[in-house]
Amino acid sequence: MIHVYAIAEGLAELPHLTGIDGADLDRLELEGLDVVFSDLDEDTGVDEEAVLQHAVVVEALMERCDAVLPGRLGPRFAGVHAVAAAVEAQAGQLRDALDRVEGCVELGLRVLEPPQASSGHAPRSGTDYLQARLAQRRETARRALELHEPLSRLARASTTREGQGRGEVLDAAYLLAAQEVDRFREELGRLEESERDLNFVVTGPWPPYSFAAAEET
Amino acid sequence: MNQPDRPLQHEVTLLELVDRVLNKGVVLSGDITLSVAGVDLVYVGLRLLLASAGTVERLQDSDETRLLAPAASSR
Repeated sequence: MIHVYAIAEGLAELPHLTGIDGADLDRLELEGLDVVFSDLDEDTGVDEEAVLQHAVVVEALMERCDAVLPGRLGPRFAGVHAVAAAVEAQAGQLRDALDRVEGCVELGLRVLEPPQASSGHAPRSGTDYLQARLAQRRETARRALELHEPLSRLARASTTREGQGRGEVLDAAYLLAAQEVDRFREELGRLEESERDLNFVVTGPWPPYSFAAAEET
Repeated sequence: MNQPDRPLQHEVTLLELVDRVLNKGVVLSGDITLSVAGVDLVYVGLRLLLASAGTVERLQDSDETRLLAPAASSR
C-alpha cells in the first residue's frame, strides 16, 4: 500500500528520514512533480505516531522544496502505478495548487468566547431563551466576520469553517508568504487588543495543509 | 489544572496537527481511504482543550506553538 506524504516541486534530494512505521521514503518524478511516498504493509494503521511521522516528513520537505502540497493521512494506493495514474490525471490542478502555495505557510486561528458566566437573570420562558440564543448566534457570526475580514485581506488565501459551537467564534486558516507572517501577527495583536473579551488561539506556521486540496475556496 | 501552560499548548498544537493531517491536505482521486479508528475521540479531546484554552493567556506570544522543526518561515 502506497502512502503519499506530499507532492512537491523542486526537490533536490529526499530528506534523510524514515517514514511511517520505519518505512523508507521514496520518490516518483512525474511531469515535473515530485511525489514523496512510502510503501507500507497493508496492516499499518493510522495512529498518533503515524500522524507525527507524516508531519515530520512534510516539514522536512518544506525546507527542501520550492512548493509542497501536504498529503492527507488515510488515503492509500494499491501500487506505484496507481499513484502515477492519479498524478498524471490531475497534473494541471496540482501544478496550479503548487503555484498558489509556493513560498507560503499557513497560520491557524481559533477565536473563542470564554465560558459564559451566568447573566444573573434566568430567561422567563422557552421562547425568551431561544430568542436570546439566536441573538447571541447572530452576534457571534457578526464578530467572526469582523475579525476575519481584515486578516483575510493580508493573506494570499483563507479558509473558514463554521464555528463548532461551545463558544467558538471563528475557525480559520490563512495562507501567507513567509515574509508576511510578522505583519500578519501584528494585525492579530491589534485585533486581540481591541477584542479583549475573546481568546485567540494561533497555531503555526504550518505547511499549507488547508490550501493543498484543489480549489476549495 | 496546576500544570504550566506549556503542556496545554503542546496538546492544542498536536490536536490542530491531527486535524490538518487527517482532514486537510491534498487527496488524489483513485485512492483508497482507510477508516481511521479513534478519530472521534481526538475531536472530543480538541473541543475540551479549546474550551480550557480560555485559561491560557496569549498563546500566540510563545514559540511553543510550533510542534516540529522550523518550516519555510525560518528560511
